[in-house]
Amino acid sequence: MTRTPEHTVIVAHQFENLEQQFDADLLGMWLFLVTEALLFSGAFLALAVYYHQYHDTFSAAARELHWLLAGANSVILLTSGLAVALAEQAADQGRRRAALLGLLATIALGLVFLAIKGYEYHSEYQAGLMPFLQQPFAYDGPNPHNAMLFYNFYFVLTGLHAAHMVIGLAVLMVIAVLTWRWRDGARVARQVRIAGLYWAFVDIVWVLVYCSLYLVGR
Amino acid sequence: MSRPRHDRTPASATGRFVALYVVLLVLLAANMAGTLLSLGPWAIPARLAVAAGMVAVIATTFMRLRQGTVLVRLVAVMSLLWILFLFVLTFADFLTR
Amino acid sequence: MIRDVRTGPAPRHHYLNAGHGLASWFLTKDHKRIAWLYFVSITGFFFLGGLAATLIRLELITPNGDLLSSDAYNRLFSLHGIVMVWFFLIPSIPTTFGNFLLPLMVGARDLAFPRLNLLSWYVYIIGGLFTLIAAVAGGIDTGWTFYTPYSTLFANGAVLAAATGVFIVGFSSILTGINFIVTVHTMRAPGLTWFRLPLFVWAQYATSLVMVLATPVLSVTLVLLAVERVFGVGIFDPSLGGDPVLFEHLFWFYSHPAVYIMILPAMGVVSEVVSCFAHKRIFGYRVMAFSILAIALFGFLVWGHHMFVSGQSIYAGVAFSLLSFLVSVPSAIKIFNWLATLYKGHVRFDAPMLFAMSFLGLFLIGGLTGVFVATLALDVQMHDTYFVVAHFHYIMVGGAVSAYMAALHFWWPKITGRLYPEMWARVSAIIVFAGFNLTFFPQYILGWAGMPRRYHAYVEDFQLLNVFSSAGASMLAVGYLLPLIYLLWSLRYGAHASANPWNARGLEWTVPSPPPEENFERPPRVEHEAYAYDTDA
Repeated sequence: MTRTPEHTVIVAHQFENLEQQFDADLLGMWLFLVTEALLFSGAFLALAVYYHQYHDTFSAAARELHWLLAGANSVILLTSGLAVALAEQAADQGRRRAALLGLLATIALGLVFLAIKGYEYHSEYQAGLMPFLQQPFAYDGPNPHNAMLFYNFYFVLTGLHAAHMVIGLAVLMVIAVLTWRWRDGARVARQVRIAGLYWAFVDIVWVLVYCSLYLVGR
Repeated sequence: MSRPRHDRTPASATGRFVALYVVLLVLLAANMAGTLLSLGPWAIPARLAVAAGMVAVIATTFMRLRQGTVLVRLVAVMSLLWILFLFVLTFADFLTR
Repeated sequence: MIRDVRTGPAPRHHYLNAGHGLASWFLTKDHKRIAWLYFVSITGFFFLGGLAATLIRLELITPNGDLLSSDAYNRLFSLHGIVMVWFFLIPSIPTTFGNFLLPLMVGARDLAFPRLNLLSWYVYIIGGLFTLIAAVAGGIDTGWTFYTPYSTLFANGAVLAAATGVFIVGFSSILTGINFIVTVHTMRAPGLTWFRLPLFVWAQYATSLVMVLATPVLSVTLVLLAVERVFGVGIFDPSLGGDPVLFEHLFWFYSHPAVYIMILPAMGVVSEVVSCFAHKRIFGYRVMAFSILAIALFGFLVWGHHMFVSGQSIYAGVAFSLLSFLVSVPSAIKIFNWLATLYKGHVRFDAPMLFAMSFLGLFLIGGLTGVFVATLALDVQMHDTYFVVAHFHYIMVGGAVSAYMAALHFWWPKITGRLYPEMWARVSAIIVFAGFNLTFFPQYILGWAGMPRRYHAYVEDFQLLNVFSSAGASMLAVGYLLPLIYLLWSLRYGAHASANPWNARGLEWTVPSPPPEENFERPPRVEHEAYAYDTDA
């Protein structure tokens, strides 16, 4: 295990040592993820309540979604999760190139995910399943009014997730630049680790979004 | 405050990451294939259970909860507990109307 | 003789003269200066909310709606609620005294994340600007609760701007909460074990947990509200099969615990003040700490008691009612322990103690009437009457604001390095106490008699009590404006305070007043429990 030499280590003024700073950063990020988890759980709760009330209509509506395409997207996102985990490991061991490679792979996979998601949205727009943007709702299954509620949640949940992806990608890009520069190894390792935690969380949310919107109704 | 960090990943961890990544893909495939079976009332619990398994794998491995400090694990459990409060008490209303 | 203890020479170097110019304030990462940024901004919002309250009370002097149209009245009480809840009460004690004192009390140089701390002030200000824009752009008439479908499908005010403001200020709470939790966990000085922490720190810790766990649910609720309002997409819309009661569940999952965000820090302040002015160890320290945590926990399990008449299931209502009674157990434990602390103490009645005593009495009344409205059958009668208004003002103004004033006077010498004029402060404390009771006690009677809240006109029988209430409100205005004057005066003309003018215990009193920029020259080592008042004279 190679470590960066001690003389490059900089501890922020409020901390006594690097361990303390690392513990604080990690705990802070985990607490932030708790808030994110509760944020999503509010939307999932609303979906669950309506699923309970309109089970058959929601299931029928869910069958219109591109579940195989989204399944492929799940594979892409899980792969990016592996890539960032390996990047964290590499950064921790002081392997700059491997860390950078892992981060770039993560970013690339994230962009592919968003592109596929965009294609999905586009095809749903063309099929008239977007109940806004001045478009008539062209769903021809049973109880179109309640089905509209399902699509609203589909767009809200996937949209919230996509927004988190965009934030995550922006963070990863900044971290990639910092990794490329590699000023202070311990610090870079910490930053990659924190960003990786966020990305893994975005993965988790997608697993739940995919399961509850695409699979539960089938 | 100086104490050994337990969450440093040894080089051998690469193998474990890849292995659990494969587990994730298998779980995903199983969940998708499960929609082809007719499980009746068990369909929804089964799908949610598989998804929960995937979440657990990501959290313990990719987010390194397994090696995390007690405090960090406590934080993760706390979030689950509070989500439980939200769901249980809200459904206490909707299931008894 | 006493003045000798309280006054001292001014320290040469301290955080207030460590930098000059605007940038040294607006780009500061020093928790003590950030506390000042919050002091100034929340004071502004307090008086804005107070102005709205003044107009409300002026309107209610007569039974007819003669000063304001009903629409203007609706917009005023909504503004009053939104500003007071999110821009004063929620941030009040944590962002000011919490910010200033937490690092001092745990023996640290700063919070764990100083830059995040500054960011959360800017987030607060941006949220505040959106709310001001909403107020200027015509205001909103939904009340502070934004109930759907009215807020999404019908209300014609600046709902979106107001909701955006509240959404943004939520992130300020979240960031502050994360910062405090991490600080308490990782930054405590050597020897400062959990059970040596002052109860103020325990209270800030529990409050931060509530902020972190509750606020995100409000955020997502407001996102859903905004989506429904902007895109016309149904989320809670009954015509699509949506359920407005679901909105209430999500809203109160945050907004009930939010009450504890307001009251827990107040309890922390009162513990410090009561112990200091009784010059006695706090009674039952561990039970006090655990009851703070218990209140924070139970606070999450009772939100349905706001929805007894909403169409919620009667069985859920019964469960929520019973769970609500649980909150009174740790609250009562705290009241009894404060009284036991006073028992046989050498009690001094300086201004902070007067405010803390107000807290005890008013919180007790507010808490007991809280049991009334938590009772399912009784609340069907009390719901949406002035009884509820009186109840929560006893908790929020009588409780939280009294404790804020106690804290302001108690730590003023530490924060500014100056003593405030004691006589005027006592006068202010007494005026506030008398004015508060005159304002809000009649509202209990009005509510009991059936006067509904949120109307600008009422039947003539209610006029006398409403006139009392408005008279009390004008006393309150004097009581709150007075400190603004004498505290500002003391900044320039007050005597220099010694390091420990109250002969109090706690790490913050071991550093000079005002503290140096780096707080402690070297990290302190703690060998005593908190409140070691019996160790020396």
